[in-house]
Amino acid sequence: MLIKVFRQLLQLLTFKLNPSADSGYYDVLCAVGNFRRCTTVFAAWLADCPEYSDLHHLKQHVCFWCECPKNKLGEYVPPDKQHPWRDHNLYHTISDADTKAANAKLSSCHGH
Amino acid sequence: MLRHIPCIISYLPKPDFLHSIQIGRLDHRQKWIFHIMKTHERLDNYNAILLSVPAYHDLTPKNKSYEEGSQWSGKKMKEMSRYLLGVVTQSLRGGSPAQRPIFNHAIECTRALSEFYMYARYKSHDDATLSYMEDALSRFHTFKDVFLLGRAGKKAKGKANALRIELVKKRTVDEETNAETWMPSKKRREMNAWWDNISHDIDVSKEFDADFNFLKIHLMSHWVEQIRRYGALQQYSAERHEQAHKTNLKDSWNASNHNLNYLPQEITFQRRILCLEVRELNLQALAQRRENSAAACKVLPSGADLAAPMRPQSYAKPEFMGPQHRSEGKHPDAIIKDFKALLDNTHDATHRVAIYSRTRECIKHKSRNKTYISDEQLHAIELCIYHGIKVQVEGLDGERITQMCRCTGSQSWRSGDQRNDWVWGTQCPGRCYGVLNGRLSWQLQQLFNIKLQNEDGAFVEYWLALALTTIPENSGNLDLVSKFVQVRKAPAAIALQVFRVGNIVGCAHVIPEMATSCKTGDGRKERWIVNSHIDLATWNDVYN
Repeated sequence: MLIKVFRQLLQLLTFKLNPSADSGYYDVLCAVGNFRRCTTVFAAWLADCPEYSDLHHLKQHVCFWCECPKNKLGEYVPPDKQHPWRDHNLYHTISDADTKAANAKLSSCHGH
Repeated sequence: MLRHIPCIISYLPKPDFLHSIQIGRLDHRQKWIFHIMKTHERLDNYNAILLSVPAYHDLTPKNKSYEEGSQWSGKKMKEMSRYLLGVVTQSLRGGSPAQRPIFNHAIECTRALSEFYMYARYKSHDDATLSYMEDALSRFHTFKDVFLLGRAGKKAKGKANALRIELVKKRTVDEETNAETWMPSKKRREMNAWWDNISHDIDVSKEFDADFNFLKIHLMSHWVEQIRRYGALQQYSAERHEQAHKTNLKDSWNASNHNLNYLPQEITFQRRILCLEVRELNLQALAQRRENSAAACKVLPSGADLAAPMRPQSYAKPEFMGPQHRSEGKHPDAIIKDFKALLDNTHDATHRVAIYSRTRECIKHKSRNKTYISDEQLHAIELCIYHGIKVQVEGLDGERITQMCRCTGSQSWRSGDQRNDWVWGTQCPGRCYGVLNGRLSWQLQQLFNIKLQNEDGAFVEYWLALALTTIPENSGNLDLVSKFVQVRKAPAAIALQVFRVGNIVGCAHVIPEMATSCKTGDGRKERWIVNSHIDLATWNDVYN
């Protein structure tokens, strides 16, 4: 019940804010009459990485931005050779499929 | 949970400066440095230098070493990162030819992390600063293997212990087999060789099993991209939110009656404060609007006035901070009334001679007629001693910062050691000391003000400072490994100088070569490195 309420609340918030797909910014009308460019800072109160992992449905101690393998976290990644970004919409689709192959694919991306 | 939200979820998390850098990575770095100091038997020296780091205008000296502190908060970590590289550089000075490459790599790696942290703290970025960040990160990854032993976890240590037991058994068998054939000297040599072999194999085993595969190291590789996307990192730091715990929760809790209905009271308390803040902002906005409308009615300046060149920003002269009230019984050793009394109360003979001769030289040099002052005149001069000086400096973003340089002379500071801060003293314009840009770091010894009567009867005030002077080594050029400038004490004849406080342009920070604190024993006070990592303004002035 609580999770349902929380999800609906988050959906409402993000739907209203509607961050642009390109920049992650949205415009907010300020009290002084100007528009402000804002970005959502999520989980600003969370202390450490395990909470981020839980929120993103990821395994512990993995990057929540990219799909870097666990055994390569300590290696230098040049700016032009970054690992692919996480596509949570894809994870959602795979998760809903709930087949053996889909679960294996999800597990390889550190999701669950 | 977030998968049901109609937005790009990867955009939501922002880099948290406090937890991923200040508490996370800096804490790891401390542990690695601690390990390398312990391995190479430099821990005593490291702790001694750490405890003898001098004060800065917003930095108090530490009284606990790293292992003595039970918990290191983000604030303490941030403070320590301001001088850690200097302490590591001074601790790892010298060493055998085999140790030197390891020490150099450790300094390089620490420097790379410090530089990455310094650049990440910038409030605005451009392509150059972001490329410097990338460069620092790649250098860190190049040299990080020097700290690999410090990353050995329980599993690696367990495997190394098993290997050790196995090797010790082999050594015992070898010893028993050759017990009759080996002479005592041969036996000693063989045993030493065995121990070297065992320790080497254990290190290799630990290094093989240890790695840097943890999240906080990896997150740094995303930061440049995050800065390009969302701007400077400081604005997403959780530091602000954690500071707000005090004002939002603790203050209102203290204001409540601590009973069961404390929550409505806290909310009412916060509401009142917010109402007052909003009212204050409204009043400020109204006042600003009135000023703007008044300014609009003024006559505009003529073309000549507009064409006049902008005057450079003038900064206030250094300002002394209150005379010491010695007559109140706090310091019954002396009541300074005149110059002779100051000389009599200066216990150090070198200081006494320096104050006497240098003050006379300074007054002679600065006075209009270059008049010579006799001993009687000098002794009768009215004098007042001060314990600090306020200097206005320009910050990295052009804002004015007031720095307070303390100088307690031989007296204690807050029931501790005496506090005589280091300051930047400007030199002749023609003399440039490499990256120091014509400035030298000097240690204040005494701050005083004297009044002198001219030949025409008018009184002239001189605001003077006695300081321990230094001269730069290597012409003020940066050290190749640590990128610090080293200075040493000036020759004894000119070591103590009296100069006008107008020459002080800000606070400086240095790290001594050896321990100088009374708690850690004797130490030489002759060579220091100028700590350019103390703040961003000094970093920009001194580093390049």
